[in-house]
Amino acid sequence: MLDPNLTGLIGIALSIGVPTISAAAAIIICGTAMAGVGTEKPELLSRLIITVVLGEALAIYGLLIAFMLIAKLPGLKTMEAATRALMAGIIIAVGTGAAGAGISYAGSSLIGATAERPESYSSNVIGVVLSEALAIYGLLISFMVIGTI
Amino acid sequence: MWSYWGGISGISKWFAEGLLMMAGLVITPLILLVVFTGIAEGFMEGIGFGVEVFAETLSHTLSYGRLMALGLVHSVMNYLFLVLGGVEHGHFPLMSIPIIATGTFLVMIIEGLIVFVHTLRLHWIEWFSKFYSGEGIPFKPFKFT
Repeated sequence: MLDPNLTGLIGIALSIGVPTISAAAAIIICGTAMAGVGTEKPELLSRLIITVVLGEALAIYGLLIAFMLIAKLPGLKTMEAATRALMAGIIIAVGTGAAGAGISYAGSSLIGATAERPESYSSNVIGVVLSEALAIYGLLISFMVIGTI
Repeated sequence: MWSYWGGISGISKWFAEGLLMMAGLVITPLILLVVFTGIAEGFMEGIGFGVEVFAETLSHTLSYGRLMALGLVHSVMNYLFLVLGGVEHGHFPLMSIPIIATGTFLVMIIEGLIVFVHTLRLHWIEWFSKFYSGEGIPFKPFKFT
């Protein structure tokens, strides 16, 4: 049987660990693809940087939730409140994991397609930004769960 | 547009205000949308368009929650450097000023990039898909020949 403090700490570890991993996955794939395109067409780099920045924002969301959980940590006396903190961490972890997978696939394809046909950028970027919206949904629900602690 | 407002107020109030509120704000505009599109373009087109508009407006409304998240991120990242500098309630060591200055500078750089990209995304996806038409008269600068 876990005690409330340890359960809350596991939630904090999940809420900062998994978002940084998914942000790293998105940045690794999109950053290397961007470096390859930049050698051929450097004028596209200023538009393609949106994939890397949106991937990096995932880690910021995880930091936000982890910080709010740390602020709640001294008040976690009962097991129910600690379980809510753990669930908030799991929600943001799954949401940013899905968003990281979406950004890494759609972003590398966007970069490759833009190098061939720059006019296709405006419709292909929708895949990247919509998969980034998944992380926002997870963030909002995680806020609601933290609000009930 | 009606289902848009319904989505905003409905999330927290559907079950609190009862069935009448939900019927008035969400179901009636959805039925009107389906019926009129169905008359104009066929039955299945109407249903597909109604579902698409409803899901799109709801998700776009939620998407503006990122502005709240970015504001919170700003306060959290600055508070992080205050803690690193050793500032507590009622206690402000002078040695922490360079740490806070450096931290604020770093936060300004990284947040300028992130907030710029997020607002650009809001313009492209949420704003332009509703209100941008791309029409107009090309600008001809006045000049003497």
